[in-house]
Amino acid sequence: MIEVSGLRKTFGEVVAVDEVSFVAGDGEVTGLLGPNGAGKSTTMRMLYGLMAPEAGEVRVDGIPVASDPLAAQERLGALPDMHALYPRLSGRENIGYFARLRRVPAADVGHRTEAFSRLLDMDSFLDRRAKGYSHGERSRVLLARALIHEPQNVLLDEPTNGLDVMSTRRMRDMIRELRRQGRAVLFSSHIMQEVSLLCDRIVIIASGRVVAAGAPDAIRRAAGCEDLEEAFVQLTAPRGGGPA
Amino acid sequence: MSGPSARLAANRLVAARLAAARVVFGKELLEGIRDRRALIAVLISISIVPVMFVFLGRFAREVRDEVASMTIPVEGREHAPALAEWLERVPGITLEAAPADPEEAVRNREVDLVLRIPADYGERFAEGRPAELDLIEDSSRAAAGAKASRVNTLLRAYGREVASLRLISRGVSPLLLEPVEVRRAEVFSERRRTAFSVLGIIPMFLLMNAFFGGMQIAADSVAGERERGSIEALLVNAVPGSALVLGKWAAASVFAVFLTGTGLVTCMVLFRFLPGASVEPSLADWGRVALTALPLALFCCALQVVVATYAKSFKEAQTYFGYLAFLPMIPFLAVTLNWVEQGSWATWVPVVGHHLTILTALAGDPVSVGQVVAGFAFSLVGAGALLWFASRLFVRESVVFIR
Repeated sequence: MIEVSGLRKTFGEVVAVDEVSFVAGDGEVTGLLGPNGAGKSTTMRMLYGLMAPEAGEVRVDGIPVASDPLAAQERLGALPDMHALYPRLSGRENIGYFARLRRVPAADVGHRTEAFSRLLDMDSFLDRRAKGYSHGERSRVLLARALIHEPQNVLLDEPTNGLDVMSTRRMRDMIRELRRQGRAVLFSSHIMQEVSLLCDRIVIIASGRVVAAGAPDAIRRAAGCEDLEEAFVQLTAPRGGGPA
Repeated sequence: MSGPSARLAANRLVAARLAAARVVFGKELLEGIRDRRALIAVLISISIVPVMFVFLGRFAREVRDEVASMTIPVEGREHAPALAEWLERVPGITLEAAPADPEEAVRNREVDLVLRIPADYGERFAEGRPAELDLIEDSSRAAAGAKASRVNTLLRAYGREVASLRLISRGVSPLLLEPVEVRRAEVFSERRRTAFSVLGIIPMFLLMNAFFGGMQIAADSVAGERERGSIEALLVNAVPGSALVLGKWAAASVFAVFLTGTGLVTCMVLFRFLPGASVEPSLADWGRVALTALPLALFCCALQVVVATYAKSFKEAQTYFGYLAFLPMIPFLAVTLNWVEQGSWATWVPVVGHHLTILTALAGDPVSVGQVVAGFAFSLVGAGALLWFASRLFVRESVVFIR
């Protein structure tokens, strides 16, 4: 479970994130939805301890990230905004590297990698150097690499960005599987449809602030429109500047 | 009760960090070995010492052999048969006919010099007037300059001999011509002369291997990690920055120490083939060289890790490393230009001191234990301090998300 309360982060004059609070519960998929530049990645970076918030607190399974980032990171797996494979290692070696850093027992790494390979259909390229991977192949290996230690909390920053239909589907299946296993999944996206398909709870963020949060139905009701996409446009439009 | 358990926890923490550092080390080493650019750098570093010895050998041989036994092109030999005969009696000297246009021939480097005897030499000699001789030389070339000064010395000796004979024939003691006699006592031994003129460049090449050996890995594993965008994913793995930095540094160090060691061994092997090297450093001398050069490689890698942490990209890191490359050249220039010498304050300046220690040990001169220990300690303590700094820097928010 990830608990976020009152997060604030500024870069010079720019307030990137302000008073962001939400909870991503176990066995739930939580969507962090917002337009580009809304502060999603900055929020995510504070969640996995790479950026220090100026105010507020993040707890991962009750562990405060600010005071004990390593212990909190032990409880989570993440696919950050900046992610890349090591081009001179094969997909399998990329996964193995993170597995060893995460101290996954050597005996488990093999069969877990095989399981991911089946689930994400990676057999054909897993032993090739990552340098020649297509975007879809890379994203599958990245996902397996981020989850190889079977974390209780999963944070995915725009995981379907630039993926084709098939890869996006695989990603969705993976996220549903993680929910079925009782993990807390938080993923960010700027695509309404994707979030509405998958999420139990949605947190809409615009200009660094939470403008709406709750189940998809509740958000529809709050925005006063039937269509979730219309609700999103209404909620994220700059105040006073939206259509009447 | 809390004492032992706290110590146990601390030990476990250190063990966990070392284990993580070992994982990083193994991965960076594997990537380094698979990196074509790193392998090219290794090949260049390995071949640089033998190539250097080939040039050193040629240089030493030219200076020594060509002066010891030389052929003097002479124009107008028939005007001074006595002088020609006298010259030919000097061991190692032979005379030959000069080319048609001596000035042109010297300029074109066909010959190193030409001795021209003018047609009125005999006449002036007989009349007791100074008989002029022309020495055509090109002093811009080291070997030619050494030859010209030898010929000059010979001709003066001939002149003095003739003068003595003339004085004796007039009943005057030739000793009147020598109011002062200069006896030169050379304290700069032949060993050291060879060492400082011919060997002066060896420490620079050894230090260069120490500086360049791990460069590729340091740039790729530290700055490249940020450039490719893999750093964020790496940093969420609950691994402390110190373990990451330690692993990356160790991988770079393996390359640097290997190449410095290879350079050292190549030097040891090729040393005995170096002409004019009357110097034969003992195994203990080589040991001092190793104790100085190898730890410095560890220091250089730590320095590169710090520098690369500040760089946004592989290329930027390499640009900074280019400036670092001047460091091993500074002591070489300082020693060659006689700004600093062994035993002076400069002995205790890092890198300059390392250079002097290596040079002095190669020349077979005594090097104090303190000097070797100081160089050794500087390298290790310096490396430790830099790594500590890099560990903090590597996970700093403003550095991770450098703009």
